[in-house]
Amino acid sequence: MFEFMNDWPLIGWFLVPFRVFQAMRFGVWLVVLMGLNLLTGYNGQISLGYAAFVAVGAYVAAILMTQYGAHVILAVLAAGAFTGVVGFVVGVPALRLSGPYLAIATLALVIALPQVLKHDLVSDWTHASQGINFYEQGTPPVPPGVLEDRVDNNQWLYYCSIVPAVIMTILAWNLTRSRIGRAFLAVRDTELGAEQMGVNVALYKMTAFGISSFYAGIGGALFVFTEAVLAPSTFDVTISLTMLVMVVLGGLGSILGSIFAAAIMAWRVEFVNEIVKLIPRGQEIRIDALRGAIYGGLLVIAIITGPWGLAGAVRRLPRIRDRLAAGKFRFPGIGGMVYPAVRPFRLRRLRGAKSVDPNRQGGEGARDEPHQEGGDTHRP
Amino acid sequence: MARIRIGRWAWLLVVALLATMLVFSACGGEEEEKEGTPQATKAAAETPSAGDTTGVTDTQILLGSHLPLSGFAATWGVGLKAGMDAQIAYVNDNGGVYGRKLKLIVEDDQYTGPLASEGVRKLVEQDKVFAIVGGLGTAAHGAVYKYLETNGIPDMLMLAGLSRWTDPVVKTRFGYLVAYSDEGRVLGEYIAKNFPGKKVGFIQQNDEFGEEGYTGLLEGVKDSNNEVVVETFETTENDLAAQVSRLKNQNVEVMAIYGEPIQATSAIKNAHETLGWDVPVVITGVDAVEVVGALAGYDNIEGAVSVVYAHQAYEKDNPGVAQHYEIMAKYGAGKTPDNLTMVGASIIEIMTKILQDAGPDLTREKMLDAAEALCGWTPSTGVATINLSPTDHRPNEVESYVRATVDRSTDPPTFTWQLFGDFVSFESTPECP
Repeated sequence: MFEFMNDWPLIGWFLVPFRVFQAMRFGVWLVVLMGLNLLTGYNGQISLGYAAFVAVGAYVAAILMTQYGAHVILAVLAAGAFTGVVGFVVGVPALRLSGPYLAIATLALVIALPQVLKHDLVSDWTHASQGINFYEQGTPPVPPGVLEDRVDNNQWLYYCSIVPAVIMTILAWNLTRSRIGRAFLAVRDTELGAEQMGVNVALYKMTAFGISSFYAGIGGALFVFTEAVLAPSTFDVTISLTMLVMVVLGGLGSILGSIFAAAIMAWRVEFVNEIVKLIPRGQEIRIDALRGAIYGGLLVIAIITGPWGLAGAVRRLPRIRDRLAAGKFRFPGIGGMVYPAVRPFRLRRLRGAKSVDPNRQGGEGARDEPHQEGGDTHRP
Repeated sequence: MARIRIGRWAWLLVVALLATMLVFSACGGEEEEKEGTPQATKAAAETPSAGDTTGVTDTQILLGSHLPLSGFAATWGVGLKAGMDAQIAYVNDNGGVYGRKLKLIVEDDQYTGPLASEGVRKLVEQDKVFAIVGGLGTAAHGAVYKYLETNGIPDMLMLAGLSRWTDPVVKTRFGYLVAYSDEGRVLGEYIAKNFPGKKVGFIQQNDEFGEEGYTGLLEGVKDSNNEVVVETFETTENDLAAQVSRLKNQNVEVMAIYGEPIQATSAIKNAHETLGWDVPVVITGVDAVEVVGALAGYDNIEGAVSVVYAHQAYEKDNPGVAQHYEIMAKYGAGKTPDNLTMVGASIIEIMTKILQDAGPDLTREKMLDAAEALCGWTPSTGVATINLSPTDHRPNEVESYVRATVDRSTDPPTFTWQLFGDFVSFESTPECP
């Protein structure tokens, strides 16, 4: 139908089945990272153990699908609901903790979970360390009858992940612009202030945990459905920390930031591969040994040049344009780090707590502003 | 105002991108079907079709692998890749295989399942490799082995020793490492012979690798009256002081360890340094590499017993090892040869032999047949012949005991795993047809 377009950039790209697979992974990570951003970015609760909730969702869905023959839609929703409840309950002890203490407590979750999954009590369901494998214990995902000849396997999985991802993104968009979303932000910016304005801090902190876990559950279920293989080691500490890093890189407290985060998560290995390819062939072996350093270096550069993530950079575009026009533009980087400290608007911020000003939370710009300017306290 | 406008533009861009992806990924499928390209992901036959020449051109054979090139297990991946690359350069400089040069693409999986699955799909669906060679890691390869099997992609010489992957035999899948259960049994037999009746403390990594080692070890000691007590640990634990101390309190007389280098050496170090406990140690062959000497401390690990299935890098008098040193000097881009580069080179050497046996009209089917027919041939650094058959897909089925040895006459002291005793054979194909 559109054959002439096949040579166009970006379009031809999607003709490769693997690219469709990557785009599918992007959808899965989008749901997962959106949930983490709701918790950490919007509500200010740092969780290092978020992968544990993703694993719970994945296991619930996998068990329902392989051992009870549940339909995928039912399994995904059940996984989301179950994980949401688990998260809400975990939110109770989290009430007493904040900042680094909460981070450490949540870290314990992701460290403890693999042992629980391998325990004899649940090994009939989880198959202990061998894990769940749809190829052996069920059926790997294939397009249903009607679509069988129209889409291939990767494309089917792509739809299965991108449709929920779009729905969940719209839900998050609405949520963050609702009463609950504003309460999240108020609790994040100042608990005392939020309380004085009548926000039930405890309830909203637990709700944030519950909702983010609901996202984790859905994301985990989508992950296992598209991956068909799940073991206790699939979601370990490393991936848990990676998720938090990605959300920070994408942009905390921003829907666009979550989208960027999911994109980085899906394409990070390939990106570093491309950098390694730039190095002359004869030296390649030594560069291989430096991959970890390349990851770290890119991370440091990204945090220094764009402390608010990619979404922050996009938001700042108009300001940069104004400055360029006025001949006042300053490049980001080390200078950009020092510069905010002396910016005059920091005085303005001291005059009033903008972020809990109900008149200013309607539009995107107003909502993001306090985060940009006063966000230092939320930088992990 | 301007800010809001830009925000909307960004959103429009994102929505447009998602819409493009939705529409064109569907169109992509139609295009492909029209062109008759085989869909790599369609769940189909277990064996490839007879004329499957994916990845083979007149001038090149494209191979793929997934290894941890970054992350905590990067040492393995980087060393193996260096050996593989050097051996490939050597093969290509000597004319390649029937005029075709080998090319290897390695994807970084950071030792995790999700990234291995992504990397392997890229190799199969985008790069269209002929075969996957030397996929490393129980967890990482566990995420892809069924995908490869279902799509009929040859999964050659896996660097993972789970026995259930090669037993029952699957036409497209070949092991390389000794099965963990066999290895555990060989170590168990050593304990039964040298420490009869003594209490064995088994430190087990809490996953399939550790479980298989434990099952094997129990089988090895079943005829002697060794009592075995088990302590498990998770891969996230780096300090095994508690486990070792509990074993000591139970009056264990021999310690057997199934874990990766960090944890295994932590156990040894804690026993000797923290507890002052001079217990004999038996350790999995996975850890019979040079780096554990430095990790555990030479004084602590000296005398520990393990198993290997090939000659070691210290045996510079061995012609095969000497040849590896020459190849690394010429093509190794400055990487010092060690046991890891030797394993990498050995995998490519075996693969080259199989490709040569498959003949000039190379197809996946012919390559798999050639692999099953490989028998009575010894790789340059092997300790015994490789005997494969349609019912036996494990090339390494002979092991030698090695002992951790420190040579203090040099400065600094050198640490090696020295071969000792007779080879132990559990070859399931003793006779070649």
